[in-house]
Amino acid sequence: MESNNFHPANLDKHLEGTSRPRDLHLPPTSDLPTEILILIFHYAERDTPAHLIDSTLHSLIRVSRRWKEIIMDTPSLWTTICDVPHADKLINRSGSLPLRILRTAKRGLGLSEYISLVSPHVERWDSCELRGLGSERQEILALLQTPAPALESLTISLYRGDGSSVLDCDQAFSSMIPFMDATPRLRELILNGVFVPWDSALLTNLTRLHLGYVEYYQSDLVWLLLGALRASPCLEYLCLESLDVAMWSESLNIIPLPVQLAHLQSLRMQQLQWLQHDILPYLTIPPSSQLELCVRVQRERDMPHPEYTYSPQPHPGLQNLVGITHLSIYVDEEMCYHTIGRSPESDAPPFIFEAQGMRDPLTYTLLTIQSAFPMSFETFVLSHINPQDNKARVHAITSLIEFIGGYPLIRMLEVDSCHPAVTDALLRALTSRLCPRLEELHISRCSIDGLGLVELVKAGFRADGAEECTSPSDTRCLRRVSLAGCLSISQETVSVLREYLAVEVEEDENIATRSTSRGHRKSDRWTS
Amino acid sequence: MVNLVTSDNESFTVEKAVASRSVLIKNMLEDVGESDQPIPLPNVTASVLKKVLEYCDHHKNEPMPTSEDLAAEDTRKRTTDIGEWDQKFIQVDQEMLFEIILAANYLDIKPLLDVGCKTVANMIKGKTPEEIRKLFNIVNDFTPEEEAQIKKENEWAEDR
Repeated sequence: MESNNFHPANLDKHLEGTSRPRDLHLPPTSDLPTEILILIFHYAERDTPAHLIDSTLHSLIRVSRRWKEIIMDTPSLWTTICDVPHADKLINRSGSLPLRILRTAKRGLGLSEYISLVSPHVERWDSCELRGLGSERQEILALLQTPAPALESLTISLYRGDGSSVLDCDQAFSSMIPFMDATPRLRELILNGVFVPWDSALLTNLTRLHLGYVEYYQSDLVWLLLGALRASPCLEYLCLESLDVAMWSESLNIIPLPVQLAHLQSLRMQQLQWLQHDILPYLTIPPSSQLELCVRVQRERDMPHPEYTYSPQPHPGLQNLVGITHLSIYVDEEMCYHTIGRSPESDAPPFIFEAQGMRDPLTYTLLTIQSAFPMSFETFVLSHINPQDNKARVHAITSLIEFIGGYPLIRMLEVDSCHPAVTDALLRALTSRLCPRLEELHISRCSIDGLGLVELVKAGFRADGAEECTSPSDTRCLRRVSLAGCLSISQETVSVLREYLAVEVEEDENIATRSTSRGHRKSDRWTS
Repeated sequence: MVNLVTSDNESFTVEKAVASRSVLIKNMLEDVGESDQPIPLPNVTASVLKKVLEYCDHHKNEPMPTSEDLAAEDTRKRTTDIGEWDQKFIQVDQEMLFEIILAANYLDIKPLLDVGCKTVANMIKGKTPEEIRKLFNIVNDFTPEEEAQIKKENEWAEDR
């Protein structure tokens, strides 16, 4: 899809300069039919914060008599009803059209006052978005106890006073289901901090579902969740966020059945920790879908390692992983490890995995990816890998070497701004035939051992088989090395390397630009 | 090929796939069947049609919006995003911009009409009534009393 980088200010200037002189001709807008002006006004209110739509329209009313008449006589422009003090006036101007109900909890009208204004029109609600404090949960649910026959989209998000999300719990369920389960046209459901029973009619025939911030005491959570997903076979977007299992107990006689989500475009799981690995084995998602996982691991038992309590199994139904040929891992300023899998067939990456918060997120990332997400990538990029302490570094390097050894099809390896211990370990591992098909090695802004690099190149494999090269004239698998900003590599070393293969040496400034353009942070920490 | 004749009597010969981006022309072609007869477009000048055909040619391979698509489309969910090529295409003088909108409306080319209307809407956003009047050369036909009255009636919606 094409991106929008429109700059109205530039166009305004251009058009102002080219508009006809005042009074020479009729103004061009007077030629426009009413229905076109209405369309323009609709677009003018689009992207405007909902609580400012009416003041935007008010500005337009004051332009001319014709604009005023058109705007006042067009109810469809007045159908967003926020919790502003004059919500009643907006309802009057909206005629009998479907309404978008939007409680921001910031605009001055109290909850019960707002709901009492809008609830008499509940049969006209087609979209309802309510934000509120956790302490208002019961009041909100109590005020939503009539059927909403036209409702297509429902969002209820509850927060603490400081803006952080608040947890609901299935044990505290008050039996008040929003709209008494009578929302036959509902297709989009977003609930944060609000539990609804798994068999609720709200959870059927959806195309978008987001469930967040609930703690479950019920047993058989996975079985119940999969049952709910099965009731929405046309789901296009699914997000599960911060769902926690308070007491894990599963009935032995219930085996979860797989769920096919053939229309799914996006699957996001945020802060589910190991629960995601109990759900994913039962999901089948199409090759064109995107999987995004975000984990903040705080406890030892969350580590996917035989030493700990949990080790994930491969998730065979993730068909989006099949086409991945490029995997990169980079660390951002907040020490969050981002793993991105790309495929030549799609612009958006089919796989995103983010890990943060424990002592050794690299080990966690590598073990999880290797055991749970089967991929056969040919390009592997490591960027800004800098394990913080010695113990973590030893763990991380061991895991990294084991990880790379699991992907013998790697043809291109890129290392950018990584700790010297990481590059040295990689060089040693590559010299011992870890990646027999390696054709290209790119090293940027790393302090590396020149002798180790020469040894690796000398010990290369013949391109025509597994036999080791014996002379510089042999045609090697490893054909190209690029070095950028690697000050520890001398000219002499480069000359020796060039006897065996093509070597590119790039200036540091150039690679700083190149690296930034890839979205990685700019740093030359290991070059000095 | 299809032959189109503008209000200023200029003739354009274009591929059927290009001309058929206009629902008006597409329907006319379906009604008259295979024919060499030129199609008169009395509401469009040559300079505007040239621009419109440029748009149609660029988008000729895209799927046409179906009537169901248009009926199901909720105006509240439409965004004001404009594609990169369309942004460059629509950077014309103000007179041409409004002529393109009118032509797209007459020829029933909904995506082009949307591009034009979104462009005008983006120009309007965030401006005061006086700035909008100046931009579009609109005469303020309110009396001072009427202006005061409007302001009073809508003071609840004053800028927050």
